[in-house]
Amino acid sequence: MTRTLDYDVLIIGSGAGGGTVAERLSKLCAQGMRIAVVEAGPWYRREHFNMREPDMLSLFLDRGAVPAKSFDIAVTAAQCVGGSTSVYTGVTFRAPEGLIAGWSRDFGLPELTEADVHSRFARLEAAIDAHVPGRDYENENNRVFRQGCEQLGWPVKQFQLNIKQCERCGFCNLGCPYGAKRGTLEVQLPAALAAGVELIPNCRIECVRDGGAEGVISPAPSGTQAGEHEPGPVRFNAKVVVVAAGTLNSSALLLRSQLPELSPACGKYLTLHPALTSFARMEQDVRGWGGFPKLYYTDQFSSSDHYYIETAFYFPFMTARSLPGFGAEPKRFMQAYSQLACALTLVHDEPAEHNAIRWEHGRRVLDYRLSVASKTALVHAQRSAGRIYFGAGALEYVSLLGKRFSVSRERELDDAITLDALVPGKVVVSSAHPMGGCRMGKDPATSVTNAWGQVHGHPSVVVADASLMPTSSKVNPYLTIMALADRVAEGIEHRLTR
Amino acid sequence: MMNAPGFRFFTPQTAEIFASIAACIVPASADTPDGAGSAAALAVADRALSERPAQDRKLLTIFLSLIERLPLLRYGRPFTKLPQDKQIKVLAFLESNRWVPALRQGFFGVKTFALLGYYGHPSSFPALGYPGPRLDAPYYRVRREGEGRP
Repeated sequence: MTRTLDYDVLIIGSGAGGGTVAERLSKLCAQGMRIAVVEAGPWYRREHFNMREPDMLSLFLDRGAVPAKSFDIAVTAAQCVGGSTSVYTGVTFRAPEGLIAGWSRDFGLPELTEADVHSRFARLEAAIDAHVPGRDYENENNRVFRQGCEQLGWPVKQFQLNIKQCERCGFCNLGCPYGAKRGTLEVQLPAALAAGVELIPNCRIECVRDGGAEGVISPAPSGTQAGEHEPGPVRFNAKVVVVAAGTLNSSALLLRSQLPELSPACGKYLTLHPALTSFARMEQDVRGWGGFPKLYYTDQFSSSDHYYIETAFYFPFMTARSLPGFGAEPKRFMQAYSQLACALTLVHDEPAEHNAIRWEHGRRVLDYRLSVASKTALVHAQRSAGRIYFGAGALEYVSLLGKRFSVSRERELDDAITLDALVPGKVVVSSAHPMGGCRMGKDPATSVTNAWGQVHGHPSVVVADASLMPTSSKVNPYLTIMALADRVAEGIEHRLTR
Repeated sequence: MMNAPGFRFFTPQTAEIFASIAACIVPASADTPDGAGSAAALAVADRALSERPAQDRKLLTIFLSLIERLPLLRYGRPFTKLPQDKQIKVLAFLESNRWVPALRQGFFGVKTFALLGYYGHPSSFPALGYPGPRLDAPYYRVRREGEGRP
């Protein structure tokens, strides 16, 4: 039997967007308002993270990656309490100067100003302990990257990270087992819950409507924290429904809900920051699992070729999955796992109408094709990462775009790493930064929400996540998502209390 | 079709096919006698596969069946009855197939789970020089305390 739960605000999704809205609105609980956060995934607390790759797949949407129909790319997104802030590395970037002003100008959003969003960045950074850590965080993996960039005369910049009393265990991407990563799981949600917000994990929302939503609560998987509600179908009534289910799910939810007069732009204009990992075998031990995995990046080619290169580290399975071919050659390389240095090359892609989330035959479909510009940038980036490592003394360099398994000299890079190797399905480019699909704008024909996240024609249905972004954030979108969600929450607060 | 004993996804037939493929993807060698076709690796892959969306499981089952039959055309024997050098040729044909993207995609999927089975199991860690999870983390501490050990 379907039970009914009544709230003033129902927040769908508990990641960077939903968690920020929950915390911002939680003060309304003191005024007697009822607020709930529903999360489709399980509730892992720090003592549930066991750092084993096969077990921690359950933190991710579809228990792994979501491939595009084209198989050009596969997107990794979390589906657990805390969302992708539970599985990212703590990188906290401000949106580049001019980005918000560009959105405001190009999409008819005069209320959305650069100054407003940047003032939120400063407040949010303080709340999540974002800072640039000291050089003592540099492990060998990071040192090799820095040395290689310095050898080439390329700028090496340090990430701002939201960590506190970090154990430097390196397991950030499988859930921080010490609670040191100051993401939504450790900061916004505990604060919201303490103020009276309810959290309903394992609750998949089937559809939203003006005034509520319908969903199903599933039993909590073993080894996770259960919620307070019994499993079964549930009907939510709410004055405001906040859709913050992440880029892959928010537009899919709106599409399958068949809201009347929903913008034809819903689901469209995705950007993904296509990325490829590459590896260098060094003579010395690198032991990338020890210390902080991601400290530096270079933006040497950001303006000219539209990509960043940054340090990265992956556990054995993900490393092996990121190597070309199969058989004895990758196995040989993996046996030097303790000597591997790793970089991630990440491309700034442009929004295109045909790159979209669709709802077809009862399923979410990711329809995305890499542009020629993105493919060209990936090839350039993979060669550049090789130059960094040969500059630091690498013995061999492995890229998924290599004509052969590995390259052993810097001068071979241009010939060995080519566009021809980028065959969809053989090489699957990755993404961890999906954005767009419910983009803000003035025109309902080309945008889904207004500047306050309200869906055109449905002012009580509000979007508050990365899907709001009209273009790529150019950098890790975490802080930008939070700033936009904070702004959306301010609008809700104003409308509920006026 | 009944699952193979101890498995949630594999049937006896699909387990045999998957193990043959996995043994090509991460082959056994003198210093690492267990490749990805080992029982331990299969158990990890089986669990992960059993938790994939239903559509993915169905497609993978079809693809395994296809791999088993495909060599009949060229070699007159199913995949599992071929010597490993021929099996590798079949897999290389699938991995790089220029004409049918679904073959490349299917191979990528099987390869992914074979790698997860092998490199996700702690028995592979010593050969990598990887120590595995930090045992002083709360997950392990809580369980030790629950068992009455410090």
